[in-house]
Amino acid sequence: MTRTPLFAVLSALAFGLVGLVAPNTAQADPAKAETCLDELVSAAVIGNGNRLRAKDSDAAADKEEVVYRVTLYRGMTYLLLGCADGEGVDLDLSLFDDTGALVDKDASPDAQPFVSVEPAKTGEYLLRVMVHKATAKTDFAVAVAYKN
Amino acid sequence: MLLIRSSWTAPTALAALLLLTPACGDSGTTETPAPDQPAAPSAEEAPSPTADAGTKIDFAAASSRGKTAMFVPAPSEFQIALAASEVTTSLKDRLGEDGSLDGKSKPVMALETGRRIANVLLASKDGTKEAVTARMKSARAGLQALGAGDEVLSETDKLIADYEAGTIGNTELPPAMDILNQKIQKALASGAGEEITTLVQAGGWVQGVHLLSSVLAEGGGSKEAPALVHQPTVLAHFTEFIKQSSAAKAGDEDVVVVITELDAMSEIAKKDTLGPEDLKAVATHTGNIIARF
Repeated sequence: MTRTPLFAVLSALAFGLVGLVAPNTAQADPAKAETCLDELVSAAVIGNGNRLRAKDSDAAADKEEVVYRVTLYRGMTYLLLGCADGEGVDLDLSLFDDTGALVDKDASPDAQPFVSVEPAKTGEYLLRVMVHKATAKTDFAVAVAYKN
Repeated sequence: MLLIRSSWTAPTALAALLLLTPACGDSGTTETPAPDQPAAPSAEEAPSPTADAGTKIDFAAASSRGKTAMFVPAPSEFQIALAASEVTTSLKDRLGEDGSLDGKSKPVMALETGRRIANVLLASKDGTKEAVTARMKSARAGLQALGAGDEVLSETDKLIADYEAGTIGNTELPPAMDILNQKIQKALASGAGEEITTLVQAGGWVQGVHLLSSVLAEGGGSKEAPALVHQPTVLAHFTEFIKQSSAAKAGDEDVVVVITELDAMSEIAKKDTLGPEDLKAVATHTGNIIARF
């Protein structure tokens, strides 16, 4: 019953975030990517009582990828999220299990992908971050969060 | 409409997801909102070097070049994972006394500091104010001994003061500690160096595994519960790192013992599954490591 007002609050926070990542094709701005991610984490993760495991930032050129090893526990709900520094950039996330099979992905053509997953088993997974539509090397920030 | 995902959709859907999405079963996947998901990658998106959607990647090859910045579970995840495995024991009641920083080498101080930070994360949700405050001050002492910068020490002091004053309570403290912990990791990496930072992380992980294995060795929980301790890749990550550390190369007496215990754990980790005796052995080995702090 309290979900609707909470949703409205978070939607407003999210809408406010748009101002921070508003149309801007400039790239190679790690601070901007980290700020974008911090705002997402603050509004939608921490502000919602969820927990942050870790975050990282890196950079990749168009059609390049960065892979992260992540240990995930069965029975928990994880949120993997990212932000690229340019609105024109398409940042994609894909999660693979230890057999190499795709578990889930967000390949939507935007700069703020997220994947929510309840792992079928405890173990090591791989999170692949891939940059598209970048005219130069693009900075991005990613985080692993989990439901409390 | 189907293929155009406006810039505000992601955070809004993210908020909705976090607020509204119930458990999704064991499928291992979550359905993302249909309107936001294109049916197929756009024409501009070239095939990935590792895989196309729906195909497999070479896991071993990709893992070998994978970054480990988000690899290791946070100590507070252990408690939630334990509850998800139908074990109701509170880890905060088993944290034990702090080790000593006096006369210890910097690598061992880093391991002990990691353990202290883990204790804060595990106690912060429902510990008493007195106990949590003491844990926070203890972790702060470890950070200071490692040469953490003034900025992160000041932030730690502010968080302690806010908690003591009641400005933030046990509900707000855990996520606030998560944020502070990220700043601590970053500050240590730029100040004390990557080696110390990873050893701090290792200390927290050892403490978490020690607590988990001790609890699980007592029995109970789901049949999958021992898998929480069975983490051979994380164990290998830390073992190899510590073996290559400057402290190991210098023959630091405590670090040599830590490596011996980690090697013994590696032998256990080779098993497909862990039984009660394995869990007891892991608890003993991790206890031996902690005893060196």
